[in-house]
Amino acid sequence: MVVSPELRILLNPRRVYAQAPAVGASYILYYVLFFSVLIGVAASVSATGRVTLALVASLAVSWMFVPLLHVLIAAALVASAPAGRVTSNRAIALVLMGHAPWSLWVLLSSVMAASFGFAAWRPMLFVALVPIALTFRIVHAFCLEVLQTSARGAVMRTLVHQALTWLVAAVYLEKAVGLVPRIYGWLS
Amino acid sequence: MAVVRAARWLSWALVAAAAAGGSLLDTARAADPKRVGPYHLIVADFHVHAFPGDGALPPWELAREASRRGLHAIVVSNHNQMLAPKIMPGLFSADEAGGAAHPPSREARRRTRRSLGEGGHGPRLPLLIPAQEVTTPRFHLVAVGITSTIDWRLPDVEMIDAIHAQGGVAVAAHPVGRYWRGSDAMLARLDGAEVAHPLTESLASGRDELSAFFTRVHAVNPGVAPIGSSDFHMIAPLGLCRTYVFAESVTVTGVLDAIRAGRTVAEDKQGALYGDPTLIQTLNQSGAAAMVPPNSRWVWVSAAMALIGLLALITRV
Repeated sequence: MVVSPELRILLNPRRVYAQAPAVGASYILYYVLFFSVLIGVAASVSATGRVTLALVASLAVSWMFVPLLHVLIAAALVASAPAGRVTSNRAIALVLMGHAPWSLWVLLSSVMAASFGFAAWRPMLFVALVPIALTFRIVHAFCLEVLQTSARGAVMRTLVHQALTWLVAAVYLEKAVGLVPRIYGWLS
Repeated sequence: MAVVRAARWLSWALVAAAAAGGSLLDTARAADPKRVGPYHLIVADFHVHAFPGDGALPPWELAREASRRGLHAIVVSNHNQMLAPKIMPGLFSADEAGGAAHPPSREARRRTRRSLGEGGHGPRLPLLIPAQEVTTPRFHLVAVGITSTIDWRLPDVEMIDAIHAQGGVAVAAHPVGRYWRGSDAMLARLDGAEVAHPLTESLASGRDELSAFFTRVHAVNPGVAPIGSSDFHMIAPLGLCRTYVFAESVTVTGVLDAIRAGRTVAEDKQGALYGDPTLIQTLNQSGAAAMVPPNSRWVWVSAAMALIGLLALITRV
């Protein structure tokens, strides 16, 4: 068996992005489908300990907005440097190919939750530091090799890309967990 | 390239086969509530989070999972919002006393008629009861059976009055440590307090703190209902801690009235029961108290197959 391009990007992003793997716009659709199903299966396992067609389909459709937002943020990143060496669609697909760190974290989280229940929750938050760091490295390599920006431009774009991603997550969290009153509570 | 595509299709096929197998194994359905003297013994989880929100499952999947776990009623209580009952009112059970969850849809009215026994079909279970976990800087409060969101900025006592004005009941949520800094004036107005909650597993003093809080409320408010809740978000199982409700009818009104009258028994993860000793004795004699039904070994096999298929899609071609 051969290692997938997604895993090769995780292991050595600069080398893979320098070769700019041949990937078409169809990968964007594949990514949305894949990541939706990934969330569907992982959430099914952690929330119910089972997978059924109806459960996975319901969860995949419900949470499809997450990969769609990834695509929009990737498009914004690509649009920030229009003079790249590949077409925009291919560039967006190449950014999305860097999903392996978070996909593996999602899978590991569901296994941990199914195995250890609530005890898994806090350790997995700490483990999330790994995909955060790896994604930073991947996006930075993408900016350097595919968008062909300067070193400083790559750092700035990576920071903005990650800030935008976490800002979107924070907006959802605010609505989902009542973040504002919690912050008031922590401060008091 | 052909090898790559074939390998990906095989991985997808493994995921699909696992889900299909899981569907075939998914046969569990909850029994109807037992009759205990003049009451229906409703097994309920009073603190459940749903999508859209910080719960993983949308309400219709929560209903299916509740049936698998032997629950007759679940309370969908997201933080400071009630999007789920607003977007999908037909899924939620109406309170036939007048405090319906938003203008009741045709489907909700039909379900209510069934709950009341009209039409000869019996109640449609599980009951999905609309609620809000009112999340404030100083405490969390589950407002059960309300119709519109409660402002988290309201003063303590006014907040409970606002819940009552909507026909709902107020339940103190995980009232320990930093989650409960509410005023003493609130205690006399509470309808229920969580005395069984999963944090007894994650917080060493959790069990003692929950019991101490309940004792404190009970001293000033003897009718307060003991509540067991799973605070379910995305880690199984739903109904890990649960409440046995001695209701006069299998309806939202029946459940809310039973809480107001304190006719509940809470059960924690270990199976310990909390509440009126007479009700506990009745519950034990009925044989209804039982732990959450576990998934079979084959259900876990199908789940593992799906995860392996996805792992192959990420790492191998």
